[in-house]
Amino acid sequence: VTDDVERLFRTYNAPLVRYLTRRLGDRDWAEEVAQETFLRALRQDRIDNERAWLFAVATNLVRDEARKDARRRRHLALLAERERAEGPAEQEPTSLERAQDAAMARRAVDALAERDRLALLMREEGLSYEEIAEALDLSPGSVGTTLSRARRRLVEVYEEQQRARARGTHAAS
Amino acid sequence: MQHLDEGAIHAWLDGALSIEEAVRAEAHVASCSVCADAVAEARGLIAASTRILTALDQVPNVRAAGGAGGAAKRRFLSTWPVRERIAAVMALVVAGGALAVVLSRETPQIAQLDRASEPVRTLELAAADSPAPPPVAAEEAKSETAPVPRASARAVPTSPTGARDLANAREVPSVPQGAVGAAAPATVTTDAYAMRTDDSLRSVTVATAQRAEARDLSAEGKSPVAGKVAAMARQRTVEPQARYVEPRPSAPAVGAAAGAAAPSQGPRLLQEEKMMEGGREVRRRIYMVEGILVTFDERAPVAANEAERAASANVARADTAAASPTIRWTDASGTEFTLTGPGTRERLERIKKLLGY
Repeated sequence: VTDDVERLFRTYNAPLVRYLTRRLGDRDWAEEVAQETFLRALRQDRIDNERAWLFAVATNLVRDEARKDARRRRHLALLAERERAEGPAEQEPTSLERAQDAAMARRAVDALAERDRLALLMREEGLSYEEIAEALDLSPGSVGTTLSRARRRLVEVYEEQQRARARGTHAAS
Repeated sequence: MQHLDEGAIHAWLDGALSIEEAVRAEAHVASCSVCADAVAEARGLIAASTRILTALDQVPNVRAAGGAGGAAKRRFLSTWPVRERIAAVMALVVAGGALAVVLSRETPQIAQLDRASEPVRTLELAAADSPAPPPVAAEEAKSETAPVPRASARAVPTSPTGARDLANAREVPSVPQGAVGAAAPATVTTDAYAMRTDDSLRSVTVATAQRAEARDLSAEGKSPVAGKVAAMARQRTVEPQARYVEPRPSAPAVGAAAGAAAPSQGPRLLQEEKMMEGGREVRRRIYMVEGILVTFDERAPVAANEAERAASANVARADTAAASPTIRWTDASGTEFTLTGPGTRERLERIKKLLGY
């Protein structure tokens, strides 16, 4: 595996970071988890299905770290809060609509069951049904059902919010 | 044939059915309007899901030190911490030395911000990892009110970084599994510049463990690790030179002559990148010196007021007391250099000379 780490990194870092960012809603955290995942790969003697392995390890790291990090993240949130109060923040070009889209997407993803959510996010990164099954310990035959359920629910929750927003906009005008 | 269930339809559209199953599904759909509708709906759901999830890539990502050109900055910075980590692991395994050196040339203003992040991160890590943070870290954290780049990274939604990133990596999922290795996306996006110091420290920790492992394996006569990683590290000395655009006169000679195979003494350029930060151009280079990883930042000078200068000096003294020894010096133009690593100060002084300063 060792001689493959650079190739692994180049091949999978982008999808892995995006997967984790979508899962966590936090790019820095996602980067950290991805890095830890690759470092673990470096220590691994042999990996049969690398993509499934990487996504599974990253998923487990998130699960573990989520517990451990709760306190530390509260601390960070506090610091961020203080900084916002103190200094001028970088204003990036962003529209209200896009921010709303992101928030609605986040809520829609959060509305999914964890396993459905992970399966869908992995599929979006190109993992095969077999890889998803391996990473999430599912039977390969159930992946299609899992994905169809996840997609339907995601779209339903999202569209429900869209309708609510449209009603709000309409009422306001 | 009975109707296709929704899972089978998604599996079919996802290309996950066997050829026989796919042929059967297709034939059925062609003759069954109910299933044809279901397939159309599933297509819509798949497309909509992808679109919705894309919106998630626009995560808040802002730092106080920012300015115009944030997106470009992020794109540039993105490759950095991860590469540094991997490179650090490689370098440290090769060298067998647990010293990662960060040499940066900083103007006081940036230096203050950058360094100010260290104690807080130290505290944060300490808090996460052990019940009793080192007194030094706690003291520093208390005394620091400067912005914490990482913590601030979630204040405001970002520009289309995510979308661009997505466009980049969309290639991957669409490629058949077997071909993925060949279609690797070139880079990834981050803005974790301010995590540099912390990353280095963590890398060292991990790398130390790696090195111990490598040594153990070597002792048993089956070390795939050290040799292969060394080869990777050597390879890296060649690749990035293509990007080495404008050699700095005082910088050490770089190139084939610096040697690729033997653990040469001369600094070798592993990587160079340019970015904009706070409206200023920053050039970052990574050198290998005596098997040690050196990060060299060069920032175009800006006028810094005396208060910032003084504050920066205070911070400098404070973080010298932290885990890694640090040496600092300032040249005639007021540009500040920082050399940090877990080695001795004497070694850092020697490295400073090797780098031509």
